[in-house]
Formats: sequence, C-alpha cells, structure tokens
Amino acid sequence: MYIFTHAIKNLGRNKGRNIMMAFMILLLIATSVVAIVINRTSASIIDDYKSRFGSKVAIDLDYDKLATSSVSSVSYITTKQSIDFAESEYLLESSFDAKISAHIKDIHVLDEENAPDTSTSGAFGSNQNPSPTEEIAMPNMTLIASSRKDISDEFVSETRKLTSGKYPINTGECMISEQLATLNKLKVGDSLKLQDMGQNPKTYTLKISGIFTDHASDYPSEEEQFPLPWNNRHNEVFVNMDTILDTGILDNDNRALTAIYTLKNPSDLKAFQKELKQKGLPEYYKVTTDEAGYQSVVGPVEEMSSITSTFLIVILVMGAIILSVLSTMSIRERKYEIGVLRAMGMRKSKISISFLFESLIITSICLLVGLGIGNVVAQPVADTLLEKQIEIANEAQMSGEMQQVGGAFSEQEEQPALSQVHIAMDEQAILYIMLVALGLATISSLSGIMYITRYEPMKILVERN
Amino acid sequence: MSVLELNDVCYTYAGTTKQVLRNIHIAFENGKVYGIMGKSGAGKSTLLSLISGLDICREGRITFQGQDVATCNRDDYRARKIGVIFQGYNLLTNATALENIELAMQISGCKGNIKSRALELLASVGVTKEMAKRKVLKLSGGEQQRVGIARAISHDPDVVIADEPTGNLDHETQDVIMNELKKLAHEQKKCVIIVTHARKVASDVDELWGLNGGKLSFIKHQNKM
Repeated sequence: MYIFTHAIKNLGRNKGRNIMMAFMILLLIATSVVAIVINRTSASIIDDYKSRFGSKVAIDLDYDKLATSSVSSVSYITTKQSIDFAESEYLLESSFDAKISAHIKDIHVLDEENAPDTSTSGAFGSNQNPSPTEEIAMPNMTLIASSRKDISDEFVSETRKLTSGKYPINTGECMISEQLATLNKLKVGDSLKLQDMGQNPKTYTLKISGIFTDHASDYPSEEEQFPLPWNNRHNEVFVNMDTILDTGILDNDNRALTAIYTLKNPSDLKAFQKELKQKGLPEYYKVTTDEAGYQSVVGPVEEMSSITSTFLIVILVMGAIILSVLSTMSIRERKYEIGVLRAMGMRKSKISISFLFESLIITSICLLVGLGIGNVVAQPVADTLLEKQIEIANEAQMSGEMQQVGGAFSEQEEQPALSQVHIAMDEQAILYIMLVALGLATISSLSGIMYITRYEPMKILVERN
Repeated sequence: MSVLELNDVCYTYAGTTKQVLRNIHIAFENGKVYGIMGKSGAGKSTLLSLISGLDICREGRITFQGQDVATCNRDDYRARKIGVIFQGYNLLTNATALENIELAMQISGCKGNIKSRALELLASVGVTKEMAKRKVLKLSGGEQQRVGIARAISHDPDVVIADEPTGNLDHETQDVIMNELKKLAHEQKKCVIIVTHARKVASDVDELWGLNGGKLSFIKHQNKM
C-alpha cells in the first residue's frame, strides 16, 4: 500500500517531469483513440458489407483464358448445371432469376398499337398439349421468373405492391399488373395464354394468382420515345421458378437464367470454384465475388482504415521512441532516488512497481482525457479522410481505372458507395486503447526499471556523491 | 557477545588487482561507539559499504548475529537490521523530512501510527514539527544530518553505521550529533560504528580503530585515550 502512496506523492514531487510526460502520453493516446476508433468502425462496416454482399458469387466467361485456349466454340452453362451448382455445402443460399420474351395471346397488351404487325393465328393449347403447328409470333411482353419468395427487390421496396390475390407460389400461377388486368378486365383466378419464342413455339396456360400495382412509369426514360409493348414494364408477367423450369422454355436460351450464389464464408470461394469445375464447369469460366462492386462501395472506407492503421503504427513507434528518450533523460534525477531507496532496503521489485504505478496513474488520467478528446475529434477526422478517399476513388473511376465487372453482378441493383461513417467506440476499441495505454505506461517507466535492475545502490550513490 | 563480526575480510574492486581491504578481523558489540579512522582512500567507505550490506563481501566473512550477510536477504538486512547515516545525507530531496522517515519505517515494515512515531524520532534529534514538514532541500546541512540520523534509527536497528556524520557540520552541531550517537549506544544499547577524519569525534568513541593501506588495527580504548 505504501508503494502506491509513495507513487502518488512522487507525482506531485516531480511536477515538471510528469507534466511533460503526461502531455506526450495524452497526445499519443488521443491520436491512438482517433486511429483505433476509425479503424474499428471501418472494420465493422467492411465486415457488415462482406456478410451482406461480399460473399455473392458470379460465374462468368474468363475472356483472358478464352483468348489463350484452343476452344472452338463456347458452351454456355445450362439451366440444369446452374441448378446443380446450387447444391453445394459451401453455399448459404442461391437464387435464380430469368427474363424471357414471350407472346401473350388472346388479350390486349399495353402499347400494342405501336408493335409491328403480327399475325398470330393457330390454336392455343395448354402446356400439357403443345402444338408444333403454331406460327412464330412477335414478343409482346416479358415473362419474369424468380426463385425468391419476395419475387424481387421492387416488391420489397414496394415500388411494386400486391393489391389482390397472392404471389405466384405454385407452379402454373402468375402475377400481372393492374394496368394489364384493367385493360383486359382480368381478375384473380382468370387464365392467360403465353407462347414462347422457340423455333417450335408452344403455348402455356397460366392462372392469375395475384395482381400488383406499379408505382413506376411504363418505361425507363431513355426508352420513352419508342413505347413498344415488350419494353413496357406493365406488360411484365411474374411466375415462380418452378413454373418456368416445368415449361422447358429456358432450354431454348441458357443465358436467360441468372444464378446468384451466396457463400457461407467468402474464404470458401476457391473450394466452391473447385467443386464447380468437378461438376463440369468449363475451364474458361471464372468464379468471382463482386470485387468491383465491393471496391466501389467499401474501397474508400478500406483506404481510410488503411491510412489510420499506418498512422497508428507510425504514431506508436515515434511515441515509444520519444517516451523512451524522455524517460531516459529523466533517469538522471531518478537515479539518485533509486540509490536512496535501495540503500534504505527497498526491494528492486517494489521500486519497479512504484515507478510503474506512477506511469499508470499518469497514463490513466491521460487515457480518460484522451478518450474524450479522441472521441470528439474522430468523427470530423473520419469525415475528412473519407471525403478525400471518395474523391480519389471517383477520379480513378472517371479515368477508367475502376471498371465494373459484368456478369451476374451487373444485373444486381448497384449498392450506393459509403459516403459517411458514423464513428462509434465499441468495447474492443476501448480494449485496444487500454492496451496501447498500458504499453505507453510500461515504456515510460522502462528505463527507470532497467536502471533499478542493473545497478547496485552503492554504485548509484557513489556516482552521485 | 558481538553483534557483528568481520573475519578475514578482503576486498578488491572489479577490474583492479589492488586489495582495498586486507584480512580484516573485528567484532562489534552492542552498547559501544566504535570509531574507524583513516586517510582518504584507506578503504573506510568500502568497509562501511560491506558492513551495511550495500556491497557484497566475496573474500572472508561478515556475520550479523551469527548469520552470514552475504547469504542473507540484503534488502531486509538494510531495511531492518542496520541503520546507515551517510556523509552526503542521501535523503529524498524532494520529499519532506517527515516523509523520509515515514518511508524508511514503511520499508522496514513498521506497524502502527507511523506518522506520530516519525515526528517523535525527529523531535528526539532536534527536528521540530515545522521543520519536519519542510522539504529536505530547504533544511540546513545540520538539520539534514539530523533527519539522516532519525531515519537510520527509525526502524530500531541493532547496528548504526555513520559515515563522517559530522563532516559538514559546525562544532556546536557536531557535539549535538555525537551526543545523539553516544546516547544510542549507551542508553539504547545499540552498536554504533563511526567512520571519521575528525579527531574530536575520534576522542569521543569507546573504541578507536585505524585503517591504513587496507589493514585495520586497534588504536585505543576510550578510558586509555
């Protein structure tokens, strides 16, 4: 106990030295707090992003490999393969989407007056009885299939919203827009007939399970000057994936299917790729995660994190050196104190603990003040750093250095780049800061402790006297 | 019975060949004031540092109450068994006189009301309460030496060793200090060993020994001086 009391009293006895030491430690702790807090926040943002988007996998043609290989014709991934690939222990989930142009029969479609003249005569059969004699018709709508229970992001964001009936969860069911339903006085329970665009077109009957309202306009703005029925989004008909697989429509167009595989763990990418190759994926296909998307969204944050990490290391190394020098400089006056205490019979270990206590007390005070200062300063520093990194990333993008990878990810809704981070201090950040503080306390008392262990009291006192 | 014994003690500083102390034999008893005189470089301070456990005796043997000082815990030995009064005082200069005594008592493991005992001790060597609360650097040489004496006896050691205790003091203060040391030996039955140049101090001791060329020789007993 007296060691602790002695240490506290000593702080007051050596004000000049301790204030200088405290100022240095405070500076180091405050800057460490800024760096660690920004770093930790960035890390959690990156982890969160990785868990949400970073583990999505795309399977694309590897054009570099194609150019160097002797492949005469490229074989595309079949629907069966795509579904087979989804049966993997590495996957958290998989989803399939397909967009197919088709011809809706017997009813009117929106903007059909703008379509080129088509004569679509012939009998309409059910999907159980396709007629090989049917004539090829022009597409006048888009059939959209999804394996998602919530159909698409537009239904999640309520750009499109179910107004009557239910989603097409059963095979043979479909969902149409209010506009199409109103135009043809269709209601839930009625049927539609669709004809595919294959060489031997077949007709399929679908039962309307739901009608949705669409808050978006008929066309994306750039297509408004050509209002053609197959581009009008209100002519889109939604079915579930089983419906479209049952029809075999996808067999005509392998590329109509988009498969999204989500890995349980992003580090499983190589193993998953190996498995796909074993399942027959040709060598000229590459299996990738959305690196470009990841970079565009998280890149600036990662850069900011990297800068703060480097800054932290530099600050700590420089700080450790400066503290050691300060500590060594102040050892001249401490030497005498060590000699006297040793001559009085105080053990080396107790003197060391006393010195460490002194450093710990100074560091603890600095830690409290530094945490406050650092916490206040961290947010503006992070904002400035991130703003700068976004500028750099935008410049790089403008100059074509960053190119979006195509394939499955180009179909996905683009994630907005992280333009701001909300700096928060978590338990782990506090733990790291405390470890830094403990390190600084140790360093600042180290030269004194080394001196205590190296010299005998008589030598110290003789030198001094 | 002797409290402290030196048997055939020799000492050579590391890196040198010259023996500073040669075959020292002496037995110190409680209740006496011993004086050791010698010229500068005669080995007085070396002898003192060996006796006080500040240095290790590698040749010969120093025993305290029959126990070899070289093998005992020398920190404990310095903290509890021996009290040293240094010529240069060796006090914690940025602490008060009282804090110096309190710390010495705490190191030696004294229990109870340390502060009041420390004040009593200081008062017994002529340091007032007001002086006790002053920083050591604000005390005169004589006052600092008194604080040094109080510190040396604060843990009630059996042996008090004083290195030129009156070296920096005026005659009047020298007398006061010597009286304090004699009281320790004669009234409290401590063994007091004084290393000195001063003839006046030498004339006040019970036994006087001379150290010359590393050799210790008996000079006189007080009643024969």
